[in-house]
Amino acid sequence: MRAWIPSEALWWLGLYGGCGVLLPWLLRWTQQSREGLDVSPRRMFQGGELGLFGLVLAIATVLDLQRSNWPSLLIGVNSVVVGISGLMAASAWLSDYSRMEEGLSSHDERTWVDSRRLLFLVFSIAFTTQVLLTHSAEAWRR
Amino acid sequence: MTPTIPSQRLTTARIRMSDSAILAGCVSLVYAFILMVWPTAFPHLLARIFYGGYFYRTLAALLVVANEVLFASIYRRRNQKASPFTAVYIALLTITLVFVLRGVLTIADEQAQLAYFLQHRSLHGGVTPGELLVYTHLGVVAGIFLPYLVVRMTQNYVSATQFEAEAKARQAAAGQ
Repeated sequence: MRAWIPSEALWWLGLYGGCGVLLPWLLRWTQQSREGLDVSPRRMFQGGELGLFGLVLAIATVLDLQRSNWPSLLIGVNSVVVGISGLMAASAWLSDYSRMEEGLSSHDERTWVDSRRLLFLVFSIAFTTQVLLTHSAEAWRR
Repeated sequence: MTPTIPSQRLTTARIRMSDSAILAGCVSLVYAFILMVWPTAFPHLLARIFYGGYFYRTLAALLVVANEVLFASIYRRRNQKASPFTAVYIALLTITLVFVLRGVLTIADEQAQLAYFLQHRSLHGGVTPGELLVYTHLGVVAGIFLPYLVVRMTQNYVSATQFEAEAKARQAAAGQ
């Protein structure tokens, strides 16, 4: 049985990952390495910024879904699930930001873990959605 | 507000929103991997299970087992005693989500049959294996992630309500 590699889905997700995580991290790294500061990912994204990237990724996936030839009900249900996971990822950053605005102590460790895990969830759903979109487009062509 | 009350409230074990994210994400990636390895056989297997009539039962059983194992592992990792009420609540939420998926799939099937009838004037059609593939993925991911999200929100609501009741009781006691 022939395995199938959805190159289009891999390309888009590589682009999302590159522009959303690697590029900001490299920019910060080049900026901070001159100043001799800690440049680990944990230090960089301790305020839950990865959660914001999760929201951007979720929005991009929903936009991709809108352009697909799937039935409207399927697009709607899929968009709701992707949207909820994206909003939850962003809430990791939002709750930490609100705590700091109110003058409360920031839960850096908890925020980092939450945002990282929720970004992984959004990334996985987005990746599988792209695979499913490519799979259905190929089935449609056949 | 006395300083002892918030610290007492924080000692209770709480489910976090991200607790189920890793499992849901891994399941989603495994699903994509299976589809890439068996692009034809996997959708047909799902369709066979679906039209065989035991799709929802299988899905509900798998999700309930996965969620309960995750729930036990969360409490074990934090050295807390697991509440049986929360375990039952998670199982009920999971089964409810499978019922919601069943409703959505029924509507989708009716819509597809109606569209086929209007186009070809014959009673066939229905949800295709490709669509079933997408609905199953959504059901699996939502069935793991959403029950924990609801539990988290319920815990927030209950603790806020308890906090208000305690504050009112303290005010009443201070008034007397």
